[in-house]
Amino acid sequence: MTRFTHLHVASAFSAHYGTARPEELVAQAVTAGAEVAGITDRDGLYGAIRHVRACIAAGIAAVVGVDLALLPEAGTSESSAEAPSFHGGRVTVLAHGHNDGQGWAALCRLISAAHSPRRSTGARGGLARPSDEVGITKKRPSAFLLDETGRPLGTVLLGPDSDVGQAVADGLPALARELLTAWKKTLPGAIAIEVVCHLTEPGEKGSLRHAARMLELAEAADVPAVLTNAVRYLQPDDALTGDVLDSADRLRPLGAFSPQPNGQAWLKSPQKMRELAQMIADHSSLPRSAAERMLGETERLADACRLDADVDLAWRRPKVPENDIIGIDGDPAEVLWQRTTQALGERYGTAKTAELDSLAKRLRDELLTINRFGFASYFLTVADVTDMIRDMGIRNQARGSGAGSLVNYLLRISNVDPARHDLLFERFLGASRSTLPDIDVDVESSRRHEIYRAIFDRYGSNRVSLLSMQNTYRARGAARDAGLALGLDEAQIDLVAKNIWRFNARDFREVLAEKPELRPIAELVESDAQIDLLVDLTERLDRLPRHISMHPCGVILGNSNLMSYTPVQPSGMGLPMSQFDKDDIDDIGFLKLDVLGVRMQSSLAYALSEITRVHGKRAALEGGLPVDAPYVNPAGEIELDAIPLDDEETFEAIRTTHTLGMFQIESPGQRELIGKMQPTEFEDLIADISLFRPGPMKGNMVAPFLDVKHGFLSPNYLHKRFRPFLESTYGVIIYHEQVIRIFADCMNVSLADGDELRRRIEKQDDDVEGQFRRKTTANIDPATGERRFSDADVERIWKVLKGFGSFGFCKAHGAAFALPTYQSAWLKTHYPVPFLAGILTHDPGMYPKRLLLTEARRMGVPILPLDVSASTDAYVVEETGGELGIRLSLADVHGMSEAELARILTNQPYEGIGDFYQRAAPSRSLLTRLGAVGALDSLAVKPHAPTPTRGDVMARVRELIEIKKRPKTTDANPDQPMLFTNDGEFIPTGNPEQSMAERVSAELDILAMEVSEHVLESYRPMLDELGVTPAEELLGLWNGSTVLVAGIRIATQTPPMKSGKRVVFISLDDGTGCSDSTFFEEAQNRAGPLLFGTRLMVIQGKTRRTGERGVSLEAINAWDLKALWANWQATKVS
Amino acid sequence: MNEYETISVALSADASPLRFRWRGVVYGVISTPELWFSRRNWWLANGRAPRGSSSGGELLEMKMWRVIAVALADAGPLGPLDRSENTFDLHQDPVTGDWQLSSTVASGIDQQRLA
Repeated sequence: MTRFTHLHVASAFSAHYGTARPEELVAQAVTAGAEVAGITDRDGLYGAIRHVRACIAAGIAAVVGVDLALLPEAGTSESSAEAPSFHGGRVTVLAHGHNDGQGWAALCRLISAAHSPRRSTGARGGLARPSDEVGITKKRPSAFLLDETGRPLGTVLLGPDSDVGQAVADGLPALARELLTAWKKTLPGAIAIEVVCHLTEPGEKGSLRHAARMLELAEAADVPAVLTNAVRYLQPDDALTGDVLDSADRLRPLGAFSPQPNGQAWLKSPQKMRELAQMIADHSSLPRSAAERMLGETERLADACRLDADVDLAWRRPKVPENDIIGIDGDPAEVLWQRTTQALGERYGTAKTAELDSLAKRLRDELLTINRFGFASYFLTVADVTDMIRDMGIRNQARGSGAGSLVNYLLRISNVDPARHDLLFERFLGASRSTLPDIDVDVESSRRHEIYRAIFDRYGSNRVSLLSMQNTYRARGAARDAGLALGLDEAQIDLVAKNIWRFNARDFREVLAEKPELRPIAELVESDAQIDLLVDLTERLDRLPRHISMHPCGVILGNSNLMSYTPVQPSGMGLPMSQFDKDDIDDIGFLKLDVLGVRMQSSLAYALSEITRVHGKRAALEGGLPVDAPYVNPAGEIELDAIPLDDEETFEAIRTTHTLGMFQIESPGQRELIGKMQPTEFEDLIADISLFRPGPMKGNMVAPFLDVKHGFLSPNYLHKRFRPFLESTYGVIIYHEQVIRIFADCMNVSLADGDELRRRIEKQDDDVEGQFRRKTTANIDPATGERRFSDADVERIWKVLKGFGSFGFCKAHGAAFALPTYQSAWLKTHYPVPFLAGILTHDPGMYPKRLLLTEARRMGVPILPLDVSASTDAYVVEETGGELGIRLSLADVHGMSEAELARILTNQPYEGIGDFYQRAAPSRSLLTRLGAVGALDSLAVKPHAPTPTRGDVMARVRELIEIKKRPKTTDANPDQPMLFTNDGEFIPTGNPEQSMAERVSAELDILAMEVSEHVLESYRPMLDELGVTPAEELLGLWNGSTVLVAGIRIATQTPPMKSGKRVVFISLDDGTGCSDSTFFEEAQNRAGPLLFGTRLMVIQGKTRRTGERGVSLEAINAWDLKALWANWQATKVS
Repeated sequence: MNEYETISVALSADASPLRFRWRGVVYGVISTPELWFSRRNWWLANGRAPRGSSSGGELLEMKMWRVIAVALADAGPLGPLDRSENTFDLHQDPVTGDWQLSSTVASGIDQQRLA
């Protein structure tokens, strides 16, 4: 086959430009017989690692480059280059390979420079540069692409979009020659003319003539000419998608901007490219041999740019901070051994000798594995970071399989005891892993950025970068951009986009036919050809990358050479961010630390600080704890990570299913599972979290677990040898760790091998069965000389292992999750008011805050109204009438600016409404909103006067805002007369009190939560007449009773079901609790558009008991409460 | 002119235009026909565009031949002919197979631009 290497290829990671994923491009190149394949994404190396990986897998060489904008030289006038039509343009830069990574490093650093803010434009350091500002000036590359001896480390391709190509298109041959000479001078040996022929209109850029003139220019100037197709899609068909992407990029509809000239930029075959080369030569004044020469130069350049992944990228080799940076002296392996051995005594001080011996052995095994991979400094680095976070006084907790490591527990990276919960190191770091394992740390979300900055400070910005992530088109965004491209009006786009977020865009048409709630859109598609086309375009955009953003938690830690391996660009928060995403990290060998902001950790930290503040030394007493509890210090500070994990009161509270606010177990589905399971110990919580996933729920692993737990069945351990590790889950295999142990025990292999077999069986590797049968059959007890497993045993065990498939869960992960679950439940049980204040302030869960407030009301916790003199930016625990209540926070007032909030807080307290208006200087509308929710009530109260009504307060507000001049934000000049006097402020009287319905409506509008009473109470007369059942009474009804429930929607879920049919769960809150209704197909059809949109609903359904404390409704029909109310009122009037 | 006019065309061995008849006059191609691809506003065509529907580029592109031609006959129905060289874009409809003259370009413009 003829060889032709595409050197200029944009993948889909050139956002809003390319349409094909790197893997697809490589696959097509390989099919066409390529030995080398290139990728040159726009503005960065976003698709480069995927490309290299695909090339390695296909056994071909990778070429990597970038397509960058040329920026005009700032401040200098380059008279000759300032041809009238020259708008900067673009060039492509390719890295040379086989030079110990120097080419790659030059490319990375050049790209980082292209993204760093330009000094001359006055952009402030660190802030992201607008995308049209990303690029390089012509003088820039020479500092990067030539080594100190002048040897080129890369090649700049001057194509049709370069200044040279533009001059040729403009018919300015002299200028073109001059520009080319300038490039030659700054980058000797590091440039090539890029000839592109897209067969555009004769004379235009990319036309046959233009290509021919470019080739002639190169020959005349003695610069190599290479042929590319400036590829941006895989197939001709993708050109349409390219049009839509261009529209999204320009934010203009199709037809309103100058589009791509035609659809020739696909990955053409070598044969087609050779034909093009010949056509170009034929159209030029050069001999036919010019075509061969150009093709030869193309391959010569491709060969120079072949990267050696090993040598140039140090592929998959860890690049971690240097020893002295993490504060160690000497051999990291030795330091790790010393630290962990010492910690063994601290963590397990009370353990018996035998236990200590087994722990010491486990530690030795873990260290052996760690050192075999050379990962000691990695663990010490992570420990260094978590130590730093702890020293900052920030809560942190390792998540994921890392909790299975004793080393992590001893280094205090994790707080879950792996020995106590039988967690396995081998699940975390098996024998075959060669890349760095993941250790994820959950921290307080509100202090996450503080940690990032501290990490940059500690390790230096040459070693640290944030991780990025690629945001891809989902259904809704795809529909919006497709609608924009077609020039549809906003309302039409909205109608479609708002209703289509529950599925993949690429299934749009298929889904339209199936889902009842999409009926209106399906009808529109039939009647309107534009909407019909919109569906096609939406499907085309699905999953294409849209833009890059900061990963929510990833931090990359490297050595001082990090910037030679990854380009960086400013992130939203200002700190530099790598252009690589999480899927690239393993291959490029970076240490990635997931520092994940978890709101629950902030909620817990806030609750703890409120307990100490409010209770002080009485903390243990007030929480109903033993006064000498070792985890509460005399100042009232609670060490939450040291509380006992077997507190019966806590489990009792969990079993009531009033789990709102408890981490992981508050969703409707979890409430149902908790109701059935009735957990009695920490192990149950681990099991609960591990079972509550699609696999186990579908596979009905829950039923046998519950039957044995509740004593209806006796446990089946499969084999008596498995009892020790299956006992905690009543004989049901839930965890990866249990599968690993079964493999190890049956086949007489190590746990690491067991994990390997587990991974293979999950990938449906057929090889495992034969091995399992052979080795298990050959497993002989040396004492008796007999087989440990009979043929029947082997048969039975294999059947279970095989069926286990993808159902298992990593127990270490479950255990790490269960810890904050238990901690939050414990706080809710012993310190309900501080706990509720914590979750109201940090909003950690899935429900709206209004539901949290409903829960507080249900628990009898007094809610203190918003008060501009007393409220802060958090929910504060306040003593009121001898008990604890919660003061509402100013942070949730709709439409308040940060500056307004800060002024209100710094000027507290206030003597009157006028005083507040004067000194806090809120906007007129904010003053009105604050008045409407009662936040000014306390300021209107005067001694010896009757308490003013809310109507009186609002009358005073109206008086103030009618005064023309708004108060200045700075303190008023004392010499000027006070417009708003405090003393003797006159509050108008005689205005009517706000009705309860008005109050609730104002509260919902302004605070998004009702404070005075539950929103449903406004509809009480009708609900009573209809005979609606309160949620709290459902549990007491007979199974199968037909009832009506009402409420405000708090959750809608469509979990995957065993049958494959869609089921919709809707949870309503009515102030007494939650009702959970299940809509099957028929009910979905009846409810139609109500299914996903309507907030206030009435649902008719049949009760279905699901366990001791569990009840749900099988829905029959549903109505819009507001519509019912309007009808009902109409009948009352007539 | 912008309107397409249907014409009859004689092809050479490599399937590029050799002669064509336009408004009763036969023109002979005197340049090497230059292949190029124009584009169309497919979104106005009132049809669908699902994935794969333009696998030969047919929804977006039009294959054009740019030729320089002169009138061959001595006289036409309207009197003596203009025998100067003119530039034409010819296009064959992929569905009907009909040839169309899609535009004429003022002579010499390309030579001026790309000397």
